[in-house]
Amino acid sequence: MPSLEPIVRPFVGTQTTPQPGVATVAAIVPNVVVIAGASGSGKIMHGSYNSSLTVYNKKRPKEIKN
Amino acid sequence: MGPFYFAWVNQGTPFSPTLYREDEVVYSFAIEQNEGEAATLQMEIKNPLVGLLAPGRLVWAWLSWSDGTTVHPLFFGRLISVPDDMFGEVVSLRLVAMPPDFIEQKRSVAATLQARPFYDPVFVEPARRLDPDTMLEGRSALWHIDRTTHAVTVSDILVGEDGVVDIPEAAIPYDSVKMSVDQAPLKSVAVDATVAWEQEAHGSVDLGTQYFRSYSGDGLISSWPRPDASLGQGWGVDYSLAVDVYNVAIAQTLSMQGSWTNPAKKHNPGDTISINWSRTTPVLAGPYYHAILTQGGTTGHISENPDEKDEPTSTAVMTDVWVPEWLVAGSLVLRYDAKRSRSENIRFVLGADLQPVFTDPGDSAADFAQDAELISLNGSVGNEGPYGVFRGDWQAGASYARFDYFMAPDGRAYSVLKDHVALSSFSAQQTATLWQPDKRYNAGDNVYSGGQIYAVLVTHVSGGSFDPTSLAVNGTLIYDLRISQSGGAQLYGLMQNFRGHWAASTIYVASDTFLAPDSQYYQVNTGHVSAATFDPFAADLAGRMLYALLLNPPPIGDISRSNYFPSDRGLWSVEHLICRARAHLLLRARAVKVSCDVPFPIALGLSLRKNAIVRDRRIPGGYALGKVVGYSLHGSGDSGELMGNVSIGCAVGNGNAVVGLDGEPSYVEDGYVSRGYQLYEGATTVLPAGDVAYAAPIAGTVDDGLVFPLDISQAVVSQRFQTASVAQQEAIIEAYQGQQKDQQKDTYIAAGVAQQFLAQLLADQAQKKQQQIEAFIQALTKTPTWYELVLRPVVNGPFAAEYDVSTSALMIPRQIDLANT
Repeated sequence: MPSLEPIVRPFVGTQTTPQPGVATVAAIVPNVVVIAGASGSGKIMHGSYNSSLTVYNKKRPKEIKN
Repeated sequence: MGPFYFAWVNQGTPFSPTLYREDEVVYSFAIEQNEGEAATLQMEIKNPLVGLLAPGRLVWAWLSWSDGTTVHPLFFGRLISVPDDMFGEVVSLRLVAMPPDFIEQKRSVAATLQARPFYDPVFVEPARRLDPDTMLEGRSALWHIDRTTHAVTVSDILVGEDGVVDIPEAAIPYDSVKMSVDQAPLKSVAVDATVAWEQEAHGSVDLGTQYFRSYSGDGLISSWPRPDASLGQGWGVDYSLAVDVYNVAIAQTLSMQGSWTNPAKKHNPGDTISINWSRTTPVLAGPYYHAILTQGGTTGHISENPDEKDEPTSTAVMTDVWVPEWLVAGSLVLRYDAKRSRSENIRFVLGADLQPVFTDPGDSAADFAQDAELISLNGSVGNEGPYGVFRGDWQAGASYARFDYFMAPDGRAYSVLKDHVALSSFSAQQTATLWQPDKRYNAGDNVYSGGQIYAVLVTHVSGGSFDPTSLAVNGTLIYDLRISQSGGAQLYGLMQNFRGHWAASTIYVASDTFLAPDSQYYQVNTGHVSAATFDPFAADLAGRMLYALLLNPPPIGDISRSNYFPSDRGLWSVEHLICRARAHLLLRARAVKVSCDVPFPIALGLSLRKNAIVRDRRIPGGYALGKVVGYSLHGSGDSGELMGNVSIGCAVGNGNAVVGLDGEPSYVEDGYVSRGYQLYEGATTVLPAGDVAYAAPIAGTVDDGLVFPLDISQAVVSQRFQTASVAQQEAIIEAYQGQQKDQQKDTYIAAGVAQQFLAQLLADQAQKKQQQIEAFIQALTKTPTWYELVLRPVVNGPFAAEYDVSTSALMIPRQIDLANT
C-alpha cells in the first residue's frame, strides 16, 4: 500500500566549528598605546637661612699720647 | 432542464438553487486546472447574439451539474474575453476562476507562512520581504485557488491536504493510462550562503584610580589623557582626572624671621646684644629630597683696644634645595566604540534519497551538472533602520543615554550623543545637562542648575547639592556661569531619515523610515501621501509597494555578537537554507508522471489539494500514488460523454524517515540552562517536516577573541608604570655635588680680596649653584617616569568564518516503486 511505514534511520552528523576565512588572517591592527608622563622635569624648590649675632663691646678710653 | 446549469451572476454571488437555470445553451465544456494556476472553463454555447462584454452585462457565471439527486457546483469564474468566432451558430467562451481579491487573499495566507524554518527574511531583500511569493521559497508548496469557493491556500507538492482519491483499476479506461519520466530527479543541491553584519559595541571600561609616586609627577599630570580625547582604534576617554595629591604644583614657600634683643640695661663686653634670623622654606605635604646648596658666614670680633676696629656682628648664611615627591592619583574611564565588519559563510550539500531512475554513465561533469543545483544566497543580519532605543516623544527631565533617539517638539527625530538629563525645554543645540549629585562631570561639560547654565571648568564628581562657588582642591572654581549654551558639546544629533511613528495623511519621501503601528520598522520605497490607516502592502497606482520591511531589531539580536549561525536565530537561517534546498529537491523528486481518464463522478472529487492513487497492473508495484498536478472535467452534448482526466506526479524516493540524536551536553549539566544555550556534542536536529536532519554548527573563535561587553582583562593588554621613584631618588642623590661655599661680598672684601677678583669669585659661586640645580633636573629627566597603557584595538576586522554543515539525506516518499517486480 502507498502508506508504507518508513524505515527510520538515525542521523549522526558532525558538528562543525567555524574555520577562519581569508579576511581574518589579514585583519591585524596594532594595539593602541597610551603614554602619559614621560616629559616631566619635577619641581625644585629653594630655601635659605640667614642669621646674625651682635655682641656688646666697650672700648677702653684712648690713652693720651705724648 | 439539466443536467448542466449555467447562470450569469454578479461577482461574489454564492452558489444556491436559484442558479439551477440555463442562461445559455451549453453544447460542451471543459474545466481544466494545473498546479499553481487558476482553473479555466472552456465552453461551447449557442450564440446568444449579444455583446457578451457589453456594459451592464454580467460576466461572472456558475456552472453546475446534477447527478439526478444532487446539484454539484463545478465552476465559478469570470468571462475573460469576447468569443473568437462571433458569427458562428456556436461560440466558444473562456472563463477563469480567479478571485478579484487574489492578491489580498495571498497576503493574508502569507501572514501565516512566515514561520521558522520555512521563511527567513534574512535572505530576502527588504523590498521583497512582504511579497507573498517569497514566503514559498522555503516551502515545497504552491498557491492553490479553489475553482468554486475561490479560496486561496497553499498546497504541498507531495502530500495533499485534502486527502487521497483512490481510483480503482476497473474505473480506469485501459488505454488512457500513461506513465512517463517527466523530469530527471535532482540528486543534490549545494547551498553556499553568506551573511554579513557590522559588529558594533559601545561601552566603557573603568580602569579605576591608580596612584603614582614620582619626582616628576608634573609630566604625568600634564599629559594624562584628557576627557573626550580619542585614543584611536575605537578607544576614547570617557572620564579622566589626574590629581596632585600633595599639591606639589601649587606648593608655597614660607618665610619666617625672628629677632632677639638683650633687654638688660647694663651690658658687659661680649654680651649678646641681638640675634636676627630669617628662614625661607617650602611647605610640602609629602616626602621630599632635601640638600644644602651653599653655606657660609662671617666671624665677628671685638676688642677693648680702642685702636682695633670691631666687627661685633657675626653672620651665617645657608641656601638649600627641595625636590618634592609627587603623588598622582590618576583616574581613567575609557570608552570604546567597536566596529568590525563580519561575515559568515555556510556551505552544505543536501542529497536526496532517491530510487534509481536512469542508469548513471559515470561521474562525468556533465552528469553532475544535470543532477545538481547550486543555491547561492547573501543575507544581512545586522542593523537596519535606526540604531539604539526609541524613546518616543522627548520628555523634560528624562534621563537619556547615548544612542537613544526620540521625536522632538520640533517634529524631527534626534539621536542622543551624550548621556544626560533633559532640561525643561527642548533645543536642538542643547549642550547642558541637568546637574545631578554624585555624577562625573568632565571639564568642558555644561550643567544646568537653579535656572542657570554653568560651564564645568574642572573634572570632578559632583557632591550632594549644587554650589556654584565650589572650589577644586587647587583652589580654583569648578563652575563658571555661562550666559548661553555655546561652547559645550551638543547633546543631540539630527536624524535625517527617521520620521518617528507612522502618521496618516502625511507626505513621505523615498528612504524615510518609520515605526509602524504593527511595531515594525519600514522604509519608504516611493514618495507618497500616506493613507488613513497603515497597510504594509500598500502600493501606488503603478503597483509598486510603498514600504519595505526593515529588520529592526536585527536578526542577530545583540549586534555585538561575534557569531551568527551557531546562535538560535542563526540556526533558523541554517534550517531555512536546508528548506530551500529541500523545496528544490522535492519538486524535482516527482520524476514520474502518471495520467489517466477517470469517470466523471470520481473526477468531481479531484482537486489540486489532493493525492490520487492510480491502480494498474502495468505500473511497477501495481499502483502509483502521487500529488494531483492537473485534472480536467469535460462533457460534450454531441457524444453525451462525461469524463475526467487526472495527472499525478509521483515522488521516486525510498520512503525512509530520519530521527535526530540528542547528543551529550558539553557545556554545563543538562537542565541547568535552556536548550538553546546548551551545547550538545553530536546533537542533530530534525526539521519539522521530519525528512531531513542536520548537525548544528558550534561557535568558535576566528577573530581576536574579544567578547563584548569588554572588561579590563579583555581590553587592556598591559599597564605599566615605568621607573619607580626610588630610582629617581638615587639619581638625585648621585647628582648632589656637596655643599658649596657661599661667601658674602663683604667677607671677601674683609679678607682682602682684590676688587678685580671679587666679581669673578661671586660669579663662580653663582655658577656652581646653578650647575647643581641643573644636575638635579638632569637626574630627573634621565630617569623619566611614565604610565604606559596598551589597549586592544576594537575598530578592526574584517573577520570572516566558514562553516561546513553536515546534513542527512533528504528522505523522499516512495510514491511509486520503480524497482518492484
